[in-house]
Amino acid sequence: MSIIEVKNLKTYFFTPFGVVKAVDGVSFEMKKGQALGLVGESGCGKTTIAYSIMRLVPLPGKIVDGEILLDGENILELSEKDFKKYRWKELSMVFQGAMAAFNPLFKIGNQISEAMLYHMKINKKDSMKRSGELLELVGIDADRLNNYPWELSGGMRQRAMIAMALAANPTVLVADEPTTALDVIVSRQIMELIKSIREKLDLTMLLITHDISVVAQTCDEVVVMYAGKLVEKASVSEIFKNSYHPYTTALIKVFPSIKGPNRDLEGIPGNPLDLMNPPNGCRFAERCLFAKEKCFRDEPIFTEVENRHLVACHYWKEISMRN
Amino acid sequence: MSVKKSGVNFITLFKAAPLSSQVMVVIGSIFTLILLIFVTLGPYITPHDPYEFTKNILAPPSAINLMGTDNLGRDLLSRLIFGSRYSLGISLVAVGLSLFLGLILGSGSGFFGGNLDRVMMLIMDALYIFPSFIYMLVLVVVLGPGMWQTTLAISIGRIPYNFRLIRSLTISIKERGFIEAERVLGAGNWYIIRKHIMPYYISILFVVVSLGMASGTLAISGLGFLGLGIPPPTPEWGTELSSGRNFLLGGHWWLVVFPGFFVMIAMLGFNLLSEGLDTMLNPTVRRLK
Amino acid sequence: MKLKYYITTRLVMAIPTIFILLTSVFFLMQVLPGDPIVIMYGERFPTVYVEQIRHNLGLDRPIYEQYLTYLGKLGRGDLGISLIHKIPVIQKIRQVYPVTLEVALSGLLLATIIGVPMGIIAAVRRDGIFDHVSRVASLYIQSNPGFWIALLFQLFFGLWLGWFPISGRSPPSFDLPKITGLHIIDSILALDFTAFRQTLTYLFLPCLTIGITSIPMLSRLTRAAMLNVLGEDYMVTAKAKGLPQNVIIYKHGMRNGLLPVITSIGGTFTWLLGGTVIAEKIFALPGLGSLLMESLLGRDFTMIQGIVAIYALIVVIMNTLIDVVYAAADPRVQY
Repeated sequence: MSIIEVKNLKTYFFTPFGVVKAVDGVSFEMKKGQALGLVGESGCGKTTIAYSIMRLVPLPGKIVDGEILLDGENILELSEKDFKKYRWKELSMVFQGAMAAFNPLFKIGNQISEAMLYHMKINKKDSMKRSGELLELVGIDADRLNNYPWELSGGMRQRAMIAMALAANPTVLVADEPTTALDVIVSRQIMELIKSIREKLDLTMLLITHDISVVAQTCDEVVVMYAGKLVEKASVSEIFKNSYHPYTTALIKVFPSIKGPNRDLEGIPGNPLDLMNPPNGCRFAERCLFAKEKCFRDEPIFTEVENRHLVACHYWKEISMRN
Repeated sequence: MSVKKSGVNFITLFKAAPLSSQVMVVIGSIFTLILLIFVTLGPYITPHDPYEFTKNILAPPSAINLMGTDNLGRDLLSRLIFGSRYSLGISLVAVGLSLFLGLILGSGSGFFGGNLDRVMMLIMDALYIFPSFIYMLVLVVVLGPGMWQTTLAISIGRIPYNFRLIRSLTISIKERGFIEAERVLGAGNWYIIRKHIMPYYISILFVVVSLGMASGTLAISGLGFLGLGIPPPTPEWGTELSSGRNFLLGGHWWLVVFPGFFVMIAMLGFNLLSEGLDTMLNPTVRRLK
Repeated sequence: MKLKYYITTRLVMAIPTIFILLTSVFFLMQVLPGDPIVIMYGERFPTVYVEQIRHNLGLDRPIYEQYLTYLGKLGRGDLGISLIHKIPVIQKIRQVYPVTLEVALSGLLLATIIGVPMGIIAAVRRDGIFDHVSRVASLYIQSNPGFWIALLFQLFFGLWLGWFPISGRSPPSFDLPKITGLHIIDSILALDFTAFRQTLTYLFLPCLTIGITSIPMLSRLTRAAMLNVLGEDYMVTAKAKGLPQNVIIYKHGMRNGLLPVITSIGGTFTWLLGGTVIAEKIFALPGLGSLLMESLLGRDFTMIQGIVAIYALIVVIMNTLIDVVYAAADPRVQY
């Protein structure tokens, strides 16, 4: 049974220049204990989905339609006061850019145990002890509890943030580009860490990234997003073997294999979409090599075409047979 | 998505500003306009002669003398309207002068940097940290009585503030890449300053000038009140207030209330204008919660 | 321990500042028209003696020599003799500076107590009723010249309502042992509550005037600082953690937001100090400002120099204090 169900989510940004439809009708679900990777290029709306689930959408953004069910309950209908008890305890988040996420004036230990004190029956002393344990779990020396965020290196800050996210024993963890700001080696360490923690604590995880190869290592399922809409969803093995959407295929091809034969880099032609005036038909049509007349006219619907494999493309069958 | 360059001008910025800002700009402009009329057309629009003695001394406000008369029977309203060319005129010249000097010193120091900059900063910081009004008092006495001397004293007092402002603006512009690019193309220093740095000053110019007018008017009337400004019988607002104070205990409140009122209206106009313009020209977009 | 080192470092760094100010005033005094001897002894003093005294006082020496002598004396704490009062400058200043300090500090306290919370609430409830009202009120108050407000208060509270005395520092019967010179503190230390009450009534109007004129500046700066902080990422984190609303605002928001306010208080004090000159005139308070006015009008060179030196010292000490408080509050500042 699904722990998270997103139904037709629409989150728009009402700017002075116009309305940006960042998330325009997105539906997916996550089962307990599952790791779902949400992939897409910068600006496609994936972070906005994360913030929508966490109910942290910044102004001038607003969730205008849809439902988000947490264990069957629509959290969008709750008042902020009622929703507070779910915050961090059921749903927590690892933010992109750990530097800014921490308050520079308080020590790490203080900020980690803070979350515990308000969600669990625990006293100050024990919460500090537990914070120390969490730091050890993510590979940081427990002494670091007394450090300020700016005294830590980038990689350590990211780990500390993961520790903080785990403070209240969350059911669901949303990780927003946890490795973007880090170098390749530290990146890999962090991803390994996330993977092992997930397995150890049986966490449900939503991993947001623009790098599909990261998803391959750590997730069970992948969902691909483009210009505010979902285009494909499948298990990791399935998607790398049999991607049905031209965008997914292109995404996979973009990242060269370090082991494979040398080849030219393949980009995706065209420009990102203007989300203020999305076109009528398929949003990828402009950049798609296989687009036909129907693609510019009718918007394809995100449907399950095979067992647990969903696509939004009119000609998925023909394209997949070509490959 | 690109914003067309020609489309963004004063009118569009005004329309895009929030209502409160628009109201402030309008009201501030109206006040400033009225004051401008007083300054330029003063002598022609006063109901009576500001210097004419009458027998009607210390009269409270009436239909003939809307703001009453002073101890020599002179109409207060006329005197105050006429006095605006001193209170505001001197302020304007002083602000202009100090802005000009601050511009040269600040942009030069910020642009060229090095030891020159360090020395300038040291001096200007010392002066900035000191209450400028007190410094002005000493300068006024040193330079002696007289309109130009007072103007100079006020403008010198304000230089450290302007210097800092211009200097930090210059440095922030200098640190952007395109200055280096221009250098590579062979542009001379003053060309760079003129063409690239100066335009940025225009955007803050309006705000700085109106703020300066507010503080300049306050300074000159403050000096006048202390007896160190323009001496009587010239009806500078601060001087009038100081004279009027002598008659306060006798219950002649109008001699104190109205001169101060004029100063207040002037400052209100300038403050409204600067506040409104500031929001209009420098909108902050970031908002949360 | 390290804090003491920081304090001394800051004070040492402030020396060039004081030096520059004193030097500039010294040379300004040279430009000031007027003969010091004539000022001391009057126009009719026989010329013969004038030259003798001029020589004794070292006023016929070249300027750079006088300057060095001046600096030397300064180092020993000798500010010279007042031309008008004929007593050491230091002595006269010691009599009057507590008055100015009392008014200035009480005004600053008032402005901080009202202005800072005002700014905080305006920022937290941005664009709400309070925000708009307080911004309009600030703008209006800011546009009122201090001397006018003072006079209106005198008129209204003093003359018409008769609630407060309109001038002076204390009633004629006042008798208090001088410990700090600040009546407020001295009266408490002496447990003389009548004196305390009397001081308050006399201090009220000047303090109110000085305080009110500084409120708009502080309120505006506080609001800006708080708004800045409220938009930071760690505020999002705090909200995501599901912390109670007041913890989010007070622990995370205010602690960060009030840091720049500390610095602003220093700036406000400097501005406010200029205003005390006017307040002292209006309320007939025998402080530094009144002394300065008397010295300026009477061309008391040595006194003018001395008073400027004291103002500079006050300002520098205040700013150092502010810096130290800031350093203690912000763990990012290394010392």
